[in-house]
Amino acid sequence: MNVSGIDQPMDSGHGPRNGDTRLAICLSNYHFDALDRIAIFGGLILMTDLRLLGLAMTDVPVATMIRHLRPWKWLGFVIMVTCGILLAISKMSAYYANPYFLAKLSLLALVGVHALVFRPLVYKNPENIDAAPKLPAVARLAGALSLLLWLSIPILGRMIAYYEPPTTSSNAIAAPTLIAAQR
Amino acid sequence: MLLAAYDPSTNPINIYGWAFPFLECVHIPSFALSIGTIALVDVRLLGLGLQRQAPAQLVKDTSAFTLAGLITVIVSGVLLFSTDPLHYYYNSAFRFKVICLVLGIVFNFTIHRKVALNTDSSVTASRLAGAASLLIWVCVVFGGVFYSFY
Repeated sequence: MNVSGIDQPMDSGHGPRNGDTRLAICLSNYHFDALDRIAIFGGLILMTDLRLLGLAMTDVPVATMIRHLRPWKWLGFVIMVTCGILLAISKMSAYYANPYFLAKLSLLALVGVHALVFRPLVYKNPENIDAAPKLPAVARLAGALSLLLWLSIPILGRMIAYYEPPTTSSNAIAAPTLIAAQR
Repeated sequence: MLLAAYDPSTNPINIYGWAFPFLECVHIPSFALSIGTIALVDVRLLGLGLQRQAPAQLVKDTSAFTLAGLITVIVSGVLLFSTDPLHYYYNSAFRFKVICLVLGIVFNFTIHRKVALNTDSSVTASRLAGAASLLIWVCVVFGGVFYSFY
């Protein structure tokens, strides 16, 4: 993870800061990240992935997990995407210049690729997984990759708030001023 | 007051620039895990999914994950709180969140658990418990999002 973008505004200037500077950065308008709202739905994805890996809820069939939780995940996904688009277009130029935002969008695109690849292999006929004597490697792979993607996306989403454009990062008072101007 | 004597600038989390975002990155997946596993039981209690599994079985399957998530989320949350306690303490959205969180934890380990584990629970009781649980946990997350607006 590239932390240099975070360290610069914190460490430049007068050494240790009090909480105000950090809060000013957290209070920036980036903070209202749509991913905060998928907590419940994110947890459902997490549990399905852990089930595919054979690490949780092994007495519940994979087919039940996938089929019964699917509408809830779709609901969460639709809410997340709607809020995300609305938030992104409200400050598109700022988001567009933010590498964490671009990285997050790329990972969301990879979620689509994941679905395209693993839907015919795993999610379309989950009964086959339950019928197999052992959890198939492809199911474990689908679970592991999904877990990796869905853990990285909120992390990148959170990092968006910590990115300082290069022109202001060398200026110790730039961050609070910028935030004051945004209010 | 105890907090008045505390100087946040001596807090290591404020000294190291990466510490706060790192803790946030721990905080967010942990609450997804804890609230998500509780929501899974709620979906069942509401009768909206996983009907072939008994609620008691789902509680048994998820409780370790719920507990692990709650412990991590609380530890990381307390550390995040320590970066500027006074600001959080006087923030009404933060207070709302903490009240909902305490309510949620108490509800989860008392009524919610009892209804889910009891095989004789009525449909109405199950639905009420599931709906109340979802509502409380959604409020916790909303409180968390909204304290940056106060």
